Parts: sequence; structure tokens; C-alpha cells
Amino acid sequence: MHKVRTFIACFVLVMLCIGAGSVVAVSEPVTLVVGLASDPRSLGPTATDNDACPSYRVYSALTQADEEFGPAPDLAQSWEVSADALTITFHLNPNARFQDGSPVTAEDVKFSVVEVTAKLVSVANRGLIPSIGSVETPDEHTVIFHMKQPYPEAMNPYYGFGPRCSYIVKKADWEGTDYLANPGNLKPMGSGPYRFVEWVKGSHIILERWEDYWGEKPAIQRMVFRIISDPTAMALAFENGEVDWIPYTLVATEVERLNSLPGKEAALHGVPCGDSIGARFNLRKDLFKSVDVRRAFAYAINRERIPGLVYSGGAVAAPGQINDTPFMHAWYDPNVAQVGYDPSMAAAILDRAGYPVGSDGWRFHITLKHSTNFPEDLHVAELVKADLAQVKIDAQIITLDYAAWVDQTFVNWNFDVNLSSVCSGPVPTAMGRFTTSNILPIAFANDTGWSNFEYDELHNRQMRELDVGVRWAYLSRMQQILVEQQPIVFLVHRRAASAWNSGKFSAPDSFWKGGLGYFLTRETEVKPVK
Amino acid sequence: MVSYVVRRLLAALPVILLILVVSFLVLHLAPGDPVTFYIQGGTGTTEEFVAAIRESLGLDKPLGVQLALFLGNAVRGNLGYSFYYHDSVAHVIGARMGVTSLLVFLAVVLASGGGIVLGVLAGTHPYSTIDRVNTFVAVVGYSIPVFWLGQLLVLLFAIRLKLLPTGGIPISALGQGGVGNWARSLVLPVLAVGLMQLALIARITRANMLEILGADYITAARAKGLKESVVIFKHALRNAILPVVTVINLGLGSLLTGAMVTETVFSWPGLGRMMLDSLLRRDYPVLMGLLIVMSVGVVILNLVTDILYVYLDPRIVYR
Repeated sequence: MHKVRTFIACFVLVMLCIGAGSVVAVSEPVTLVVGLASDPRSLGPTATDNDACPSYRVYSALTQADEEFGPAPDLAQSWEVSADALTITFHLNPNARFQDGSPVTAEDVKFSVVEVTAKLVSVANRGLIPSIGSVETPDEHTVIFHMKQPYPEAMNPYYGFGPRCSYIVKKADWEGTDYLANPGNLKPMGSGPYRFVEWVKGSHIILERWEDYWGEKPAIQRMVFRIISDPTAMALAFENGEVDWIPYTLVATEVERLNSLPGKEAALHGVPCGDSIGARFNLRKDLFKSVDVRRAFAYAINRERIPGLVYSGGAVAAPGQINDTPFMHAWYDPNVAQVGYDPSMAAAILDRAGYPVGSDGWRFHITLKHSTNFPEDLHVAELVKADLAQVKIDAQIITLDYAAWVDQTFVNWNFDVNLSSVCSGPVPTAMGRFTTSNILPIAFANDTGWSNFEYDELHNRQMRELDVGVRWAYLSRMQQILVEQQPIVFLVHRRAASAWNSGKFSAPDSFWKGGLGYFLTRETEVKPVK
Repeated sequence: MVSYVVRRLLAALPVILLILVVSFLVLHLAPGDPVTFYIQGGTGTTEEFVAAIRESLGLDKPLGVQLALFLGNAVRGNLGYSFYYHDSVAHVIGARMGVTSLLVFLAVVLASGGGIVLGVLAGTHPYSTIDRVNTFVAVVGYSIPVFWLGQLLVLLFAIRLKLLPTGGIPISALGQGGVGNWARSLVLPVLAVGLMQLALIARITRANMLEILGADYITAARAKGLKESVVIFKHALRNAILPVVTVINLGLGSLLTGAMVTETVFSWPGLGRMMLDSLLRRDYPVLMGLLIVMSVGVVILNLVTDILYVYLDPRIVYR
């Protein structure tokens, strides 16, 4: 008995020591803790869209975004665009410095755009880089881009001379190196308001405010990016106050619950790329060469029920390629719409097309491949399978991990129907996904193999058209062609969910959930709540 | 004994080699391309760029050449460079080995210590309350999935009681280092990953103790007037422990597997999670490096266990 009492006393003493000994850091520096779902692959220009959040704070760009998603000064304190949009002149802030103290010069900008960005950033190669003819640097603080053709998105923060397409690196540190292996990808040194401190893989990334920053310093003195791969763990960490901001990766089912907590807010919102999911046909297969068959699929699938059954309100049925989102609202044509749900029409079309129900009870058998990247995709596939079964199409669902899925569908074109994301924004440049020149064995290229001369021509024209009205007409017709030809049945337009600690930090809504904070804008807009 | 150890180690080499060759081939032949994670995809990415990446990663060489290069480098201690992290595999693994080792070590201590104590108590007091508690812990501990247990622990101790963090390691750069913070961060993951092993060890210890406590030499020891604690710990447990040591050794494998799930639930940046992430990303060098580490680890652990037998049971002699 004495030993038991001794044991209990020791146990209590140990627990007290643990509790007393724990030193929870008092956030003397104002610290914003951001939850990331995975390690970035890089903190340099090689970062992909989804993991560039930390690196955007370290590097500056020619421009950044304002709240209206227009260009705002960054390294460039002013700029002029000629009337024909063939000459774009940037005047750099003469006070701009890299974090090692050296000045940011026009040569750094030129090198960063036409060398590093051109070689590494595919987003830049969708419109900006191919439009640049030559670059002139008449003095240390002036950069003149002579365009081969007008590019209407040149001043767009996402697809133009903004953070995504003009990561400004120090030429002396990058020239002549292997850009993929440059140490700047792991320990970045830029001219942005935050300096890199440390990156513990799988755990966290720490940035600290650069006290000698040449521009307006943000109120946030330190940013900690915590790597939390499990969505439930992420939501719990946020609830417990260990994470202040979950950008884009909160599960939709947690929005209502977290929003009800005092000092916390969460919301569903659009994403800049206008993420949709669609059933993409492999037009290399004889079955899908027929527009009638593809149209029959569109009639057979009940898109309207998918958002409620699968996404808990985190999606809407997609009318077509372009959805009515804040980013793409200007280009959305409400008169363009896919056919509605009509299984009897689908059956009639298939009968006429020469695909009657066979002796086995099916018209034909197909595979429906999807990735585990989005857990909801399996449920979407199950609903699509059930709808197709109603018209006697047997769809076998094949679930693959991301790498295998890309390999089989986008690279080797080994699929019948590919359930995949379709980006349709944030600018019409994204419409190039379905052009003939994009039929390549590369992830998220034109896996359908669909080729349409009129669509290609219209895309080439809209990529050079400065007149908004004319451009809108081109894009309207492009949307119409996609719906008529149906190389893809657009299913739902997904929304993302974010959560933020409004009791501790204040910022415009556009920062937390508009894509601006995550992708583009600096933390000067985020202030601690007093 | 020395010659025995040397023979065992030499015999393990071809086994490790076979594991590596088979794993290498399976990984490389499985669908999925590491280059996928280098590119953003969509329009703007060219086939030339993809080909350049493949060449820079050495993936353009024939599979046999890649295998030969890997084995040749591995023998010289060079495990290559991670495709994803652009860092040496040795550094990437080394950075995470500590946290996984800490988690697994503490889980083993909990499972072994707690399981043996519970098993001894249950075995020496059969059909008593403590025995029922042992049975309950065994059934529950063995049945609950690790990920679910982990989330339940987080909900109770972190969210409801606000006693412990939900996950992650303490960040020294933020002044969160120190034994206290590490201890708080470890409590829940160690519990989650160690409970199943504790349950198993408790049951086996109990069963062995019951069997041995009925032996004649135990009766004789008691008849000699020895203290009960001496009878239990010096005579009974000493004989009952051998199978338990075997179970602990075998359990280390499942602890590592459980650690993969636990590390995900608790955002613990360890080898288990890295194995999963590297598999999904097709980061072949890291995966092969981890396989080397794990297979060598298993060989050494088995050898240590066999040596331990000699000290626990003097009747065992290796020639």
C-alpha cells in the first residue's frame, strides 16, 4: 500500500512538473500562424500555386494586387502602358533593396522575368512570356517590355506582371545556376517584407518581418506556417487557437461549426482559378468521337443534386466552363448552359447513335477514373455511376493516387472518362486548356484530345484583344462551342473554405478568403485586434 | 558470441540487398512519375521542360543503370538527393529520425513498462478487479483504431480540457523548446501509438505469469520462505519475460506503422509521415533511403533481442 501511495505521489509530481515546466511562448512579436496542408516543394520561383503562400512574403514582384484584383505598386512604383499595349514601362522604386542590402535593379527584373520565370513558371508561359518580344533597361530603375502582341492580362496580378509571374530574384545569385537546384529555393532571399528564418520539413516555416524593408512594413512581425496534413487535425488546431488562419484547405463541413465559435470566422468562397470538376471524355476512343454520345452523357448526369449530396453547400452546379464567380464574373455568359438532366432523352440519343441496350443489360462499359487528391471526387464518381446506370451505361470507378492518376490519364491517355478539375480562371487565359496546341502528355493539359479550329482561333484572338466588348464576344462563343461539342461535361463548380481568427486579427474579407491574402497581397492589411 | 553476431550480420546483407532490389523495381515500375510534382501542369508547360527535369533527376537512364547507380552509391554511404526537397536523403531522414525515435522509444517504454506491470498484477491476482481492468484495457486497446483513438484524445485533452496541444512539435525558434513543452506534445501521440502494444503485452504477460506461477519451483520457492516479491520478480517474471521480449521486438514494426497514422493525426514530422508523403510523391530516393534504414533497423533489433535472450536465460548458448 505504501508503494502504491508513493507511486501515485510521484505520478502527480511528474504531471505538475510537466504542467509547470511548459513554457508557452508569449507572442511578444505579433505572430500570425497559418495552417498549410503540406510542405511546399520549394520556397523559390519553382513553387507551384498551392505552395507559394510563404514565398510570396519573401519575394517582391513588379506589382501586387489591390482589393479589386487590379495592379498596385510593389517594386514598380509607377508604370505606363502604351495605347496599343505593345510597350509597358515600369519605374522601379529607387529605395528597393534585397534583404542582403544590395539594390534591386532593372537587370534583376529583366533576368527574373525572361530567364527564371520563363523557364520555371508555367502560368507565365500561358500568355505573358510568349507575348514579350524584348526587354530594355535604359537605366537602373527603368524596365521597358516591348511586346510582340498585345496581352490584355499584362497588368493582371495573377497572370501578368504580378507576384505569380514576376518573382524578382537577385541576378547575381541565380545567373548560371541550375534554377531547380538553386539554394534560393530552400533558403529564399528576396526583397519582400519578410525574411526567411527556418524551415523544418513536415513541421513549420518561420518568416520574420524585415525591419529594414524599404516599403510599408506590415503589422505582423512574424509568420509561422504550420504543416498539418490531416484536415481534422487542422480544424482542431484552429479551434484550440494554435492556428490563426486556414486558407483554402478547411473542409466545408467544418465551416458552420467553426463560425459559431467566439472570435472565429469561417466561410465558403470562390477560388481564383474557378475550380470546377468535370467528366472529361477521351476522344481518341471511337465511342466518344460522337458528339451525340457525349451529349447523351450530359443529359444523363444529374448535376444539380451533386452539390447538396457531396459538398454540403461547398459547390454549385456548373453551367459551363466559366462560372459566375467574383474573378470571372465579367466573362460569364448566362445564356450559355449545358443541357439539363433528362435521362429519357439520353436513352433516346444513345439508341439513335447505335448503342442500344445489349443482352447483358448494358449499352456499353466504360471506366471512370479519378484521383484521391480530392476526397469528394469518389462520391461524385459514385453519383455519376448511378446516373449512367439509369440509362444502362456501366461505369467502373477506378480510384488512383494522384501520381498514378496523372500518369494514366494526362500522360498516357489511358482512360475512358476522367473525373478531373477544370480551371477556368482567374482570367480568360485559362480557356487555353482546351486548345489543340495543348494536347500534350502533361498533367492538366488537354487530355481529351479534342481539337476545334474555331475554338483555337477564337482563343488566339481573345488573347490579343484589348477591346472588352469584342473579347467578351469571343469568350461567349468559346463557351458556347464547349457546350455544343461537349468534350467535357462540366459537373460542379467547387468552392473552397477558409477560417480565420477574427478575435485576434482584423483584415478585409478579400484578404482572408478572396485569394488576395493567400496568393497575392501583403500583410499590411492585417492588423492585430487591440 | 562475437562470431555469432558477425555471422548474423553477414547473413543479413543478402536479405537487405534483396529487399532493396525488389523495392526499387516495384517502385519504379508502379504507375506515377516524380516529375508530376515538379511541374504546375496545364498550358504553358512544355514537353522539353519535362524532359529536362527527367534528365536532371536521372530518370531518363535505363532502369538497370539507375539501380546499379543507386546500389553503388548506397554502398559508399550516398543515399542520393530527394526529388521533392532538393536536399540529401541522409539529411532529410536524419532531420526526422529523432522525432520518430523519440515517439517510438517512449511508446515502447509505455507499452513494455505498463504492459508488464499490468500483466504481472493481473497474473498474480487472477479473476480479481485488477484482472478485469487488465482484460478491459486489452480488449479496448487492441480494438480501437489508432487514428480514432488519437482524435478522441485530442478532443478530450486538448479541446475540452485545454491541457495539451492538438499536435505538432514545439518550435524552438518561438521559445517553445524545453523539456516541459516536449513532454506536453508527446503525451497524446505516445498514448495513441503505445496503447495497442501495451494491451498485447499485458495479455501475454498475464498468461505467462499464470502458467509459471503454477510451476513446482515456484511452490518450492514459497515453501523456502522467500518473500513474495522475490518469488514474483526474480523467479516467475524472469521466466515469463522471454516471450514478452519477442512480442516487444515484433511490436516495434507495428509501432512504426502505427506511428505513420499517429504522425498524421498529430502533425508529427516523423519518418512515418515522410514515408507516406514520399510514396504519394514518388520521391524514390527518400523511399529507398527509408527502406535501408528500416531494414537495417530490423536486423539490428532482431540481433539485440537474440542477445538479450542469453542474458535473460543462461541456458541459451549461441555457437
